[in-house]
Amino acid sequence: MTVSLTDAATGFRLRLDQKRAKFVTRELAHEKKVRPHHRGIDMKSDASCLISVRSPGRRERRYQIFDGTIVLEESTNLSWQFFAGLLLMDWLKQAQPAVPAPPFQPAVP
Amino acid sequence: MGFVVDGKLRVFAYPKPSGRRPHTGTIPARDCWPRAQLSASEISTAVAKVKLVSPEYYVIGYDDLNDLISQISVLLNTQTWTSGTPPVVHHHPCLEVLEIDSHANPHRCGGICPGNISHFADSVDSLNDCDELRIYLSGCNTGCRDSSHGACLAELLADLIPSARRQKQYRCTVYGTKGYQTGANATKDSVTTRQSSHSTIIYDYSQDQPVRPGTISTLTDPTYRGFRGANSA
Repeated sequence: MTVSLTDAATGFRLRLDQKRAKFVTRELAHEKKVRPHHRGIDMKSDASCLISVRSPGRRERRYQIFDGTIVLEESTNLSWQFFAGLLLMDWLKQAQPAVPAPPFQPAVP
Repeated sequence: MGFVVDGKLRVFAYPKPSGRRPHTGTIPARDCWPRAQLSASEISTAVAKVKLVSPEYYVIGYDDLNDLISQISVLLNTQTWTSGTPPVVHHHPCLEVLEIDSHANPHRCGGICPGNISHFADSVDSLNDCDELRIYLSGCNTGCRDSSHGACLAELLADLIPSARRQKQYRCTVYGTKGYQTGANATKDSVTTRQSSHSTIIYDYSQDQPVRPGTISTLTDPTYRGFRGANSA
């Protein structure tokens, strides 16, 4: 089984080791079972991370993470709360070089 | 369909949810197209509101950013306005407002992301822009920062428009939203919240901006913050 994460902002792709891959798939299955489902995404928010799960002999399953805490299953267009998404975002952050942030200076506050 | 006011043209644009044509043109796709698509009902509601509240706006649905730029170019080359007594017909208005309404986050909005933002900025810079160009990125958190990625999309775009070639020739302000958004600038019903009903994550510099009583001007919308780059006048 291969699980990879893609940062939607930068396109950076991280392939997870077996231990973390197992955690992600187990967590996805568990949360899908216990959380209430919604159709699509009800805010004007876009995906920040993409999850791809490939298992031998099975079709690739793709998920999108919105704002760190919501997951959307592409094949069913169902979304549910997924707090492990925050951890996944952290893994992506740690695997990429840090971007220095310039001072925040809006011209029209 | 919109009209030109004093030689200035305003555009409200949204990415079409389906029926995308093959990608062509100089602005690369780079997987920047919104993952979450606006529904047909969301689009029809927004378009109806724009026509009612801000009839001067031209409403454009686009298949990719090249399509957006080419549609704006056609408008700038074909639309006319009349002024004076006796009336004189003028040609070639300038672009004053471009609002992109889409699903978004601090790094993606309406097909723009860090992967193609410089190409998009070059294309906007090459249009006939007014002395004060305003670009609104209407979607969630486009004016807020995600601590892991540095500057947000509005800041990045503001740094690139105008280009060094047209330094200080016009002023460009890129507006991003202050939180999770409903509504838009052209529809004058924009509301932002730090937290949404579906997500508990709070982006840096996000703010609650509740519904305001009465009609407001699109220019003084408190749910947006504006950025200007070093090349802007």
